[in-house]
Amino acid sequence: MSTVEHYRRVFSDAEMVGKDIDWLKAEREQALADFEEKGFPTARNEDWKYTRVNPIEKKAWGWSGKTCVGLDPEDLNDYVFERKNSHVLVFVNGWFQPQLSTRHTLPEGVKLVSLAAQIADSADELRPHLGKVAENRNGFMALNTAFSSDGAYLHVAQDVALDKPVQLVFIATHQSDPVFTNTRNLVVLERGAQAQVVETYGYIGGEPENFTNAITEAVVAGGARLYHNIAQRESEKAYHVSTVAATVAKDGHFEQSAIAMGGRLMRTDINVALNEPGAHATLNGLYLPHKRQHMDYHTFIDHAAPHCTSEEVYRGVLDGAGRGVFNGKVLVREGAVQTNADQSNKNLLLSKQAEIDTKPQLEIFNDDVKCSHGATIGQLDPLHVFYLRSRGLDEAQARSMLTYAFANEVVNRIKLEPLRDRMSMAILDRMPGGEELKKLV
Amino acid sequence: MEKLLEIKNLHAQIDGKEILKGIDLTVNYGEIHAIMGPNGSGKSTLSNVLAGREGYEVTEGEVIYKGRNLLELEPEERAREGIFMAFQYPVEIPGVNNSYFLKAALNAKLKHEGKPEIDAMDFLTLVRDRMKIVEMDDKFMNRGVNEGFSGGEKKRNEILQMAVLEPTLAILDETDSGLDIDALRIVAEGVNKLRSPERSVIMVTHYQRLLDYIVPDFVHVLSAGQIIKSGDKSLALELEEKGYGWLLGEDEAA
Ligand SMILES: Nc1ncnc2c1ncn2[C@@H]1O[C@H](COP(=O)(O)OP(=O)(O)OP(=O)(O)O)[C@@H](O)[C@H]1O
Ligand SMILES: [Mg+2]
Repeated sequence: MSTVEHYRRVFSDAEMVGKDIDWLKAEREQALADFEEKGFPTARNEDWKYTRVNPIEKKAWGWSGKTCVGLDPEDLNDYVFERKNSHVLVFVNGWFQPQLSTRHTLPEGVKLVSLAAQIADSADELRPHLGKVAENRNGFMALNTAFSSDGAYLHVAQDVALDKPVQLVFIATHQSDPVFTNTRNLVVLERGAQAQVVETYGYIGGEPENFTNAITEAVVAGGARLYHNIAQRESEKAYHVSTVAATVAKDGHFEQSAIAMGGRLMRTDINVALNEPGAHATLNGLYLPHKRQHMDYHTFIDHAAPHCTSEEVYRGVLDGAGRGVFNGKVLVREGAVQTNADQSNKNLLLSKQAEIDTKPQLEIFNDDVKCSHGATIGQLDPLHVFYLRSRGLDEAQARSMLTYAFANEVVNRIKLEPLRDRMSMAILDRMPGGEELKKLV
Repeated sequence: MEKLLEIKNLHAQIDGKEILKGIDLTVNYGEIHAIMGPNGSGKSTLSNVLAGREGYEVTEGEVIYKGRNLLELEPEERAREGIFMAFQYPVEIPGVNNSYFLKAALNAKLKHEGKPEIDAMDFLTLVRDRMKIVEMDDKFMNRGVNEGFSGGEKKRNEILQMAVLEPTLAILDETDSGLDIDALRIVAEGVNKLRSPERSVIMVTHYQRLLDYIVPDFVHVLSAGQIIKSGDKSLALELEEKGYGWLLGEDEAA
């Protein structure tokens, strides 16, 4: 069976939510047609040059049905911090699990529900935004739009600040047949609203070979502030393809920290459009491929209006036969005068086989801008290693300490303290001698 | 007297260039040796070879430390066995927290000695106590190792590390350079506090001034990779007065 036939069949059999809603149905069908036309990206596509998706393409991914999950909230402790002080929405194999979730009383004007619940309740509320922030730019996005049924929907009304962070936790478990999940999240902050969102991708039991195909759309209205975080901690056998697309209006603020530790193959696109004057984006990112992991971040900041600012700090720590890709595109449009855009990407290669392809991509169409970018690739400084060893630290410990310091340049930029601590610990867990270091920090 | 360190006919090169050309030096327990000599004569090279820095190739000779072949040991093993080199140019290591680095170093040593690791409270007490000796402010502990420290602050940080780790053999490579008068006295006090019959110090310096504070048992002059003269503290005074030309001339005549 061809790929097209396969997904068409999965599509007609799938138990999608809101099958009877005409506009949604039409969008899904259109998306499936888009997928059939686009197919999975190939190396001929410049944007996918360094990331081959054949392993994903080769498998006949099936629909992830609502199965019974025998998990307790405590099983998620690795991925969830401070239930008391945050709203936690847990999804297992793509579906919302109320019994594993914790929702405290929400301030007036805040809605936090599963996408499936919102579709069932009032899909029309989603219509102005769903699929409007993120277009189906490639086959993966089209597939997501065609199949997505669940995820999180957060809506914060004008001038309301959601005090507790929202943790969205996406868990994969082992399944006998290969399944893909098409998580779709939508975050809408009305004018002057504020929220902190953490997306965590993880797994429980064994090492599932799941395929996560996720999209998050975020609308940041005038003066609103969204702090968005991604902790990608999938199984090292998993495939993870995701896109975060955000639009930021006048004086709005979008700040993100994305950290990738998991996955056999990961590709994440971050697309932020600064659409009105005074909009700001901060993108922090850290990728830590080791063994045979492949991690690809493509970021795109679209300076579409005057007086917008963006700051981007991406770091890579590459070990084993790990492979990293960073492509940081910054587009400054013709009328976007007084643009200020900084980008920095530094990479630390810890082994001979590790590889990184880094490419800053600045496209500037007016003269009245301040843009800077820098990309470096290096190794640990032998003098630093010697200094630490000369005080009694063994070589592995010295190297881990220096690597940790390098990674912390990004971790320290995470505003949410409990998440920052979690990320530190998770990074140390993956390092030789990390246990020793944990005792110190 | 018991020998702590014995350097015999040590030859070492960097990138194929011979820098040390047959050094002989014996340091007994409890002694303080000053090493002086012109720029580029190999003082730092000697210090680095003793500390185990890579890139230096020993082509001839041997170094016996506590009765063992020192050159076989990794840098960290030397450190745990009590060798401490205060760097001429202490390295800035951004992001590595000064306090946890020092704690890791101390624990590595304690572990090597078969002692339990130090707990957080005891460590704090110890560090506070040692910081008083070098008159360093608490705030330095939470900064990156030497990160943004002034030249003098870096040197004090070296002495602080030394005071915490309590080495058997301290090698101070121009720890006095770049210090103001007060800092010089402070650093010297740190060294003097460490002084005991169980410990020895090799001090590399260009200035007699330091030797007023830390009185050496021996003074050696290193020139072009060899010790050309040894004596007691009066040699330093003589050098101060006459300069190295005096010795180099004498060498040529001989
Ligand atoms: N990597 C290297 N390659 C070649 N020569 C080197 C290298 N490193 C050091 N040297 C040389 O070795 C010699 C000895 O240097 P060293 O640093 O030991 O001198 P020193 O006595 O400590 O001088 P100073 O008083 O200026 O600190 C110098 O001539 C120096 O240029
Ligand atoms: Mg020197």
